[in-house]
Amino acid sequence: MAARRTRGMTGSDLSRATVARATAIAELLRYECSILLELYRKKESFTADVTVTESRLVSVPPPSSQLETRDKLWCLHSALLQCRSFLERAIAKEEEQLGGGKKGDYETQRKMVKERLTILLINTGELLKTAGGVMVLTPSSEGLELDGPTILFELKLWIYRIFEEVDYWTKTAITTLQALPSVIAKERARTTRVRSMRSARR
Amino acid sequence: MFVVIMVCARVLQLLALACLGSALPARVEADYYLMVVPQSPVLEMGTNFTATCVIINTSEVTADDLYWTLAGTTVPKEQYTKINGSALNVTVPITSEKTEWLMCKCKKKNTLFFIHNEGKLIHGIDLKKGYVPEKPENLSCVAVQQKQYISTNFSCEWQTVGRQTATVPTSYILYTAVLPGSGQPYKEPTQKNNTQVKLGDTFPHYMTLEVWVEAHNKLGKIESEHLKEDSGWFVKTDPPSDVKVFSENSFPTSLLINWTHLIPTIRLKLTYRIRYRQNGTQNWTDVPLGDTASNIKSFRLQDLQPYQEYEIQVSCKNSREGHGYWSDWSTIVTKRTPEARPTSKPDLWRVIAEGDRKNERRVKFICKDPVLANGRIVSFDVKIQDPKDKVRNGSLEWKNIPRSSQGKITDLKQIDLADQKSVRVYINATNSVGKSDEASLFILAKARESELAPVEELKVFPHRGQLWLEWKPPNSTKLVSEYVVEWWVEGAQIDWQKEKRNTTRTAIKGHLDKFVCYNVSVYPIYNGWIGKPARKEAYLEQGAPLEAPIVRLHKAGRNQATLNWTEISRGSRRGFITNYTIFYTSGTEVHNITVPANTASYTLTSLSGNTKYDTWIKASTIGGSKISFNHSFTTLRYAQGEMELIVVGVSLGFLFIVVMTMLLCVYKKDVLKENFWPQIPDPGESTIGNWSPDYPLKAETPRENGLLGISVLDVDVCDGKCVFEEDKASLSLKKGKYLSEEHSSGIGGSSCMSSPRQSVSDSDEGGDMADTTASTVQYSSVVPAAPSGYKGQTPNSQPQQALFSRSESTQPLLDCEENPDVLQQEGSRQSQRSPPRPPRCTDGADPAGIAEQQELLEPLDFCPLGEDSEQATPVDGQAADWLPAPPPLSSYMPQLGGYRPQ
Repeated sequence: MAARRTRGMTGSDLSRATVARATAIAELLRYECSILLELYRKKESFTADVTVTESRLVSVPPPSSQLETRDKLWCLHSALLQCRSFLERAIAKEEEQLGGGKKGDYETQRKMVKERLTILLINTGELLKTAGGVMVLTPSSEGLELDGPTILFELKLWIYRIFEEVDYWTKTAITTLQALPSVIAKERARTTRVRSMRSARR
Repeated sequence: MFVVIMVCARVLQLLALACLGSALPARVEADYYLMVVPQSPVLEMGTNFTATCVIINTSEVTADDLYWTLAGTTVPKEQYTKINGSALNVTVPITSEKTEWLMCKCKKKNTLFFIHNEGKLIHGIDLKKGYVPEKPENLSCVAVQQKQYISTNFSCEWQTVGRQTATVPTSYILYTAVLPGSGQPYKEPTQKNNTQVKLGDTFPHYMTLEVWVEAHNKLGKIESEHLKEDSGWFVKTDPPSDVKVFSENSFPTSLLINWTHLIPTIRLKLTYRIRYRQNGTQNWTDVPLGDTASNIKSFRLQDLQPYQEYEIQVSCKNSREGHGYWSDWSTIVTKRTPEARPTSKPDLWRVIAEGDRKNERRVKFICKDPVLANGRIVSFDVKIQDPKDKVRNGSLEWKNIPRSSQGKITDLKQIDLADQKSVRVYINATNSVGKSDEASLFILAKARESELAPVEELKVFPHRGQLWLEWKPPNSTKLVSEYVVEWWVEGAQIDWQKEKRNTTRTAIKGHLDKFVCYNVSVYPIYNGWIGKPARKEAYLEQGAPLEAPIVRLHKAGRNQATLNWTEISRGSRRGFITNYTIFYTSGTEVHNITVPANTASYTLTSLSGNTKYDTWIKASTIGGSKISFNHSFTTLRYAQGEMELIVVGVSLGFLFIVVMTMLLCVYKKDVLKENFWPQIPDPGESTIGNWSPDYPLKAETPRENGLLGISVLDVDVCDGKCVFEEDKASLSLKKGKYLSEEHSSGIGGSSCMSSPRQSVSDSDEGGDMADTTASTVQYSSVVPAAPSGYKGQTPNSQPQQALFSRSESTQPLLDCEENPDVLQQEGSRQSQRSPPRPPRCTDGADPAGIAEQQELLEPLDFCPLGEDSEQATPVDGQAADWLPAPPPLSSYMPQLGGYRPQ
């Protein structure tokens, strides 16, 4: 395949393509996250009865259908940012507490999930920009339990909980993103109508 | 525009010079009085470069004293520009890629300053040259599969454009940006036209990648076109793994293919392509992409041939249209379709040979499996029917013949068929599922075969590794239903193939060996009736013969030789012999003659006689040639009949000589007799008184030797008359001389009568005298010799005494020549001691007297054989010397005159 010139894309195409891309990445992240959880359970010999608490680590209100797209995306983006922070902390803690050791499938998968999450964040950030044109502030890490427990078992459960959290928010991302195209279209139509009405009034 | 640029450049240069003056380090100023700017320039090929030489820290040297050299060659002054009294510019074109030194030097001067500072009045710069980089083209990148992931090692390659030099090389940087993203693009520098860049820890699926290459060197940099595509666009996966093929008995024309792929669909959706072919064939059949476009994991191949082995391969790529590279093909999986009933007829044929009996043929029926056997043929059912019997008996019973386990041809049945009879044979093939339709073939009565016309203008030729046939349809009103192409090699089973009725050109599909002569026949088939064949011989490929003919001499002559050579055996020819080349040499020049292939003998002509020749022969085909061993032969010394001619000629010559000799003997009998058997004067008849000097001395030819006599006879023949009749006087003197030279005693005229030694010695003693004083001296010399030669011999008989008396009597005789008076007295004195002896020089003695004298001599045994033979040789020699040379004769002429007065 020889070099090809960059093809031009319209704004509408870009939005739709960005949403589709973000959705695909979220789905891939979910798949990779499930593998990571599987590998972690296998690694730590966690049986099915080992469960984590229902409470969320990420302190973001869950996206509601009542929220506007921009807010939904903001919540999602914020939650994913926190997930990444937790994940980075978990990886650092795990390596700090349990040693680097050799890089096996688990470590590779863990790194992959982190990077995929970063890619997803780039895409949700893009979507957020596209949706509202508002700068997204990085959520404060204050109040997050980033230090983690010091007891080994609790640490392992904490890490497991973080992986679960990433998995949860990835699923949420998929749901949110899959609902976006129609929303964007409607909102765009509404925005256009409002603008035209305003200009008519003038 | 160009002028403006030049002016700007010049201004900049002057500014640089101005800065240079203040910026030069103190050390440089102290070390040199000249400085070239700019320093270490990198120059673009094909441009002009201007450098300035500045004089610093001295006023002893001016710009007029400066000159430039480039690569050791002085730059012409036309290229100089004087800026001011202390600066000189030079402009040189940059044409050579080599790095060169541009030197500013000061002309030699005989000033103290120059002498002390010569080393400081020079400065140079190294001109590095190169090309401005050009935009790389055809950038392409690929991300390959690694286990269940796509590798983050992103490989790219591109085509470099333009030239570069060793001193100014072009480097490249591969940039890869993941979009959207705020991070910096990945960079990978390289000197080559390909490299790999690592895209983080995971392949950025669904993201956009922007890739470009920057080519840069000291003269500039340039970017290639940017390649901006979805990451999946660059992916090349592994082929599907675990490809399995299943056959189902209920579907003999179908195969089911299953496969898996390590790449999860969530990561990359794939599309597949499938291809298959019958085992052993070359061409693949592709399943239409539309049938395999979806993300499938199995596929059913349909419309296949039953009981055929198929080879199947699967490949995949990103399912997104236009994205990704097709993977390599999976490893071949082979599977055979289930059996089905044969759907075509068996291929029936026959071989006809001479029968054991007269007017009978031996017909062997053979067959091949049906083309669409759809299974393994286990047997054939055969029925042979006489058309007449059909009318009588209806149908005969079928005979089941198992298929041959060896090879593809089954011998069905062999029958002896009368020439005037015809039969029809029926056959069907059976496999495990069922029977085929019937095939049939007619064998006509021999006489009728020629009624069915053969194909015309059959040509057989090799082409692209196959043996091709071309023919024209038979000129017949009957319709040809098909053709049978048959080929066979001596000693091997025949093979055949059938062609459709409209075929006029085909290739033999069976396996053919190279360098083997095939007999190829084309039979037209007229609705089962076999027509007359057209035949040709052909090679798939011709090569040099394996063996050469053996050349032998058949017949040799003096100037020609006939050579024969053997024919190369059919198996060793490996091609059609195009010609033979005969080489022959006698050691210097090699001659060659090319003769046609159908020749087995040749006569070399223009050969030298009695000469050894080496000859060899080269047999050639279009594929090469083979040279035989040398064969040597020697031509004859004489041509045929030449020897006989010589023998006959010599014989005739000898016969002629003999005849001539005989004739001579007959006709010149008297002369011969006189020469060989001369009349010896009878001493008894001799009287001293009868002899006088004036009395013509009879020619007394030497008689020592027969040959000499013949020589004399020759002279006689030529000049006989003048010698013997007309000039007897001169001849007598000549004889006298002869006698003197012959050292004959002159008494008897025969060497037997005197000792030759005595004569020789005497002659030696008085040779000169003999030339001048004639025979008197001879006789006087003979006389003392004779007594000494017979010393010790006591004559005990009277005749002996008489002989000696005669010898001694010659001396007085000679004396008497000078003084006839004294001669008388001396003669009487001599006669007292020994009986008087007649002078030998008289020719008037009668034969009787000679005979008596011989009778007297014989008892003396005075001529021993040894002495005789000893004397014979010198005499001969003398005679030979004498005979052809006339001078002695002429030399005696004066003597004759001188003698006569005596």
